[in-house]
Amino acid sequence: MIFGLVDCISYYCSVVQVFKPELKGKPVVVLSNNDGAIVSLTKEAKKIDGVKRGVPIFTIKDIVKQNKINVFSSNYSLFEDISLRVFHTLGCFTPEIERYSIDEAFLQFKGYEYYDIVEYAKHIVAVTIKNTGIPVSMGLAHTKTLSKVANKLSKSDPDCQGVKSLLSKDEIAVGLKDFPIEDVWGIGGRYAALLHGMGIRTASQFLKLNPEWIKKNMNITGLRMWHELQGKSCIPLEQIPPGKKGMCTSRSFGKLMTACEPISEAIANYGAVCARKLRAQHSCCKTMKVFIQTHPFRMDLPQYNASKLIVFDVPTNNTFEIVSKAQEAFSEIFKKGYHYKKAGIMVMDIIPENQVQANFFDIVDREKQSKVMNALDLINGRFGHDVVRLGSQGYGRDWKLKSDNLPPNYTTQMNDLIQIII
Amino acid sequence: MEHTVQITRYDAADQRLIPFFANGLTAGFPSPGADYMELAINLNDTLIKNPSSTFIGRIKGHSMKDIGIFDNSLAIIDKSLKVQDGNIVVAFVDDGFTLKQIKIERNKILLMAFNPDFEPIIIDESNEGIIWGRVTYIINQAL
Repeated sequence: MIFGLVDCISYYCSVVQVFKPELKGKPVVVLSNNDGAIVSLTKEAKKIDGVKRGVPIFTIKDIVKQNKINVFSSNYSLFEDISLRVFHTLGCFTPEIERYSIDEAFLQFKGYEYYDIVEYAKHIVAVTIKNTGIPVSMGLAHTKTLSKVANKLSKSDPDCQGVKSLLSKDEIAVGLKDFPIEDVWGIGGRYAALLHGMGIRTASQFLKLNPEWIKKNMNITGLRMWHELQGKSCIPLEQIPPGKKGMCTSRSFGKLMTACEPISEAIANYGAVCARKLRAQHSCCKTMKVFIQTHPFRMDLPQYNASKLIVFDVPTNNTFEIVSKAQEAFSEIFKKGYHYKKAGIMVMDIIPENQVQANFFDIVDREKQSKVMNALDLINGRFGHDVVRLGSQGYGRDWKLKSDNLPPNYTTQMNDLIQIII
Repeated sequence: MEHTVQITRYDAADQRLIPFFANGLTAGFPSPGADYMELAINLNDTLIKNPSSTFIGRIKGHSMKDIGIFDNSLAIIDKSLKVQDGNIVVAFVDDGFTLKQIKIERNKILLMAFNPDFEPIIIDESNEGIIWGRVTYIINQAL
């Protein structure tokens, strides 16, 4: 059995470049929510001193200006749409595929013994790049952990045509010789520190450890990793994403907030997002937590964090119900005199829509309400998020995320299509 | 022999049109047409063969008016298709998208307009032109 880990190169930046080809070969960075820190950068941007993933953009304003770095906000509707296109393209080549993250997928090749798998992988990479415009690379190996290693190695090898194989014993030995142990999939900061403390810096040094010791000090996960690194597969492909047990929608505000109304408005919007996500996956939640926080790093200001739990009589995914309960809870925990940085809603105890236990004393006409929600989703699906909204959601001038240079919804909104000048 | 049960998730987003008997199934005299019911026409299936590589663009300008491509038309572009001489393509030239007929000669690529007021564009290093994708359909609004 062979695994192929496909990874999109500088994914968010590459998406922007598909629709702005003039930025190919230029330094481009994409920022996290609220235009906070760099989350994606092109190789041209990586070369510039001080520009790294995780760096808050306001700390490098001058560098951005001097080097003419192109800065974009995150548009997750666009990123998700293109990600699905990449994923579907890959799905044409093997039926067994696991979407590991927005820009990574594990492919599994069973019964491909008579193929030249490396050539086939190069073909997959080339077709994916042509069809979607997104550059990808693939690591091939007999285990998931090794395929991740192979993929990392492919990026530093310009001659490999986007495909690196760690299939044979020799390839594995060469590949792991200088591979930093902290870059191995599943090694967290704690294990990395433990191993560094013992003088173990590379994956091949790690392999020389006694498995008994590993099991004792790094438990079963560490032992699995040890086996996987020698080519013995222990982690299977997960084709069905595990159902979400809880979902959280929370944001930091663009600026510190003191008044009740705008935060309440933000809460209404988070509630609407949670309800929409629940409906999209055909589920309902039984409990919900509403929370507010002040800025933890502003030691000069008084601190206050609070949350409230709500249990629904009947599990729900109804926007009206979730929003009104959330705002009720918020007004109970809100206290005047604090500068709030963040608020959020967490929905928990999520169950499938068709397994909802009715309540004898329920007075809500749930069938009618669900029709209203269907209509709401249809309208907003066609004309854009929150075109039809609750009055309490407002139009968020104060609390809204900062996103100064948002790439348009090129693929999901008629008004944002690419313009072709003829 | 390996016996495995594969569980796949039902994707509710993948909508299919299914014949629907609007007058219900009654015990009276059935509609003689009901046996001839067909699936409704789905324009998405017809116009978009490869959804994951198809993009839509809005056209601005008049350089292709002689072959019925007008200002405000929609262009359906399939990036997966091979581009050949004579195809209508979307290209990226001089920092902008454009749409033209491609003419591939021995040592140069030309973009041809269909309007006597416009000259052909030669794709070369100076304008950093690239062919972005092949156009499969043009949608015009009727007058």
